[in-house]
Amino acid sequence: MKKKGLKALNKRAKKLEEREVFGMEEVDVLTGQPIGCTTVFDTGWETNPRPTTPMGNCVSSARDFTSCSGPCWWPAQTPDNITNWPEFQNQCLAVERDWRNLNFVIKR
Amino acid sequence: MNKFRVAENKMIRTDGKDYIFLVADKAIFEMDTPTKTILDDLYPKGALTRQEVVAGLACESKEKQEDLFQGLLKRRVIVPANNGTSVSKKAKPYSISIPLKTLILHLTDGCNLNCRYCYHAEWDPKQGRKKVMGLDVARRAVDFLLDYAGELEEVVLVFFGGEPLLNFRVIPAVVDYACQKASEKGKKINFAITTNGTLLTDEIIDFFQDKNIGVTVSLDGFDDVHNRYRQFPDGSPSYGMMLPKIKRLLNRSDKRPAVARVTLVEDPSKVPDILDHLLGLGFVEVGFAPVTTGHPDYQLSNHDMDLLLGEFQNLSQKFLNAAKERRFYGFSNIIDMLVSLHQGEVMNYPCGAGLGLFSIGPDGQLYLCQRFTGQDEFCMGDIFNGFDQEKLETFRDQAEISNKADCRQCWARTICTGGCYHEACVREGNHLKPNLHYCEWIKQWSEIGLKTYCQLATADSEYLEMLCMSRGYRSV
Repeated sequence: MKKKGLKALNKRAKKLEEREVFGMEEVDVLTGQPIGCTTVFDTGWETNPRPTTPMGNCVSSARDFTSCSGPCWWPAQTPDNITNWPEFQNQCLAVERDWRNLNFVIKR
Repeated sequence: MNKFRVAENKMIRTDGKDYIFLVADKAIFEMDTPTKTILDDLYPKGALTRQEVVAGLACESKEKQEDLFQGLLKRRVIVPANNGTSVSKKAKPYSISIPLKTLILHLTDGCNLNCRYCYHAEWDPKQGRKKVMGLDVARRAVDFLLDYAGELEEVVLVFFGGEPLLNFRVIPAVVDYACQKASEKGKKINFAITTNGTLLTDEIIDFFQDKNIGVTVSLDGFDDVHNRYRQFPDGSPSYGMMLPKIKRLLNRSDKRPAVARVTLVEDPSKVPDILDHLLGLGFVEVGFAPVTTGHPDYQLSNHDMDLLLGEFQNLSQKFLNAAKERRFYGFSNIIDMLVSLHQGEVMNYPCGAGLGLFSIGPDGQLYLCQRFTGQDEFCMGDIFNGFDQEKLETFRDQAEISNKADCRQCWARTICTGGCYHEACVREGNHLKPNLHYCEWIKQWSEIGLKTYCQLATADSEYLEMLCMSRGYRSV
């Protein structure tokens, strides 16, 4: 949509404007398919173990940081945050600022 | 089949332009006329299928309709119809500890004034036995603040009372101790004090300047208004004694300007004159609050509250006119509102009390905030043994906005969040109840705030950024 229809004024509105609608709720809402500019590079799929949508369905196991959203595009893949490292992003609250904290994931 | 609806909103029209405030997200957009027409048309229809929504979007082509739909969905102007109509109870998958940001030291129960409307006078169960905080407790409080501050880089220590200057002797020692301990921990500590101004001396004023302590003076306005309620115990007036001291304070407070807080008891038509009088004295900002009291004699009547709203509206306009010329008009009430709207942070609680803010009684007990100091029901542990976790968690669970049934359908809930706990305790009989007695008022005030915000954001959004920075928010 062109900006002329709605213009974000406060910080919250600007955040909404910048985001991409790739979150879980919108995936379901939009097309029923996982989408994203690097979908073809997704390394694999696993079953969603949580009681949330898409229940028992496949979700991408490795995705770009913050799903390639807004200004924080980063061309590398993250650990899967569904089953093995659900909290890996906690040390990286603002990816632009804190990305160095992520280091490597070493599976013991 | 998934259904969609227009998100809960408040439409604002001001200065010939249309705006939309998204209630749940606290997001504010300016709208062009076609978008407004579309939303006005869709809103009353409730839940619709995707096809029905898209068909209702007046565009030249299918692609443009689809684009418009995606854009509205992304901005959450249109939302899935099943994602809760108003307040959704947030799941708490991980327990998050809230860092301690502000501690308010209740340096003494005592006060040299005997203001007739004071909430302490109404509630103080130990009349005559005034407690004073010792240096050991104050130091321990500083340790407590720094221990519980987590990753925060900056914390705040506030000196409060009673009249904190009655116990001034501990303040320099606490400030030195706090600065030293904070720097050991790599943190910055800010200080503030609220005083009635009658005990200020040149030495105290110099000390405040030297240590960069933010001073708030609690007062009522010019002499006749002030002296009516703010008297010494023998009934003598306090304005004449306070004024020269305040003037000296304001003359010297160039590093960190002083602010005034006015308690309103009567005659709201005097508010503009009081504001100009206090700004004229040299206060950088002046905030007004109707007195909190269960005593009907001191409560503002509904008629007075209506008058007050009118005055606030005029003052907001005056602020806006000044802002458009890049001048500053220190009317705190509208500034607080504008900062809150610009930040757009969705809050589940009305304030920081019991979250990142606590007050500490003279013996080291922790209370929800300074207004509850000394009341056992609101004691949340002490600085020696730590928080009463169970009581605190219960409070946090109960105080959440989702538990306030009366607020669920209100468009202003993300601005007001039910209002002050202490006010609710006094006026509604329970601190967990929303302040229903001023609902309509707060809605109208919020609307004035939104209109002022929309105009200023359209004219000069940089000015809003500067306002937010002056309140300690960082840009971006």
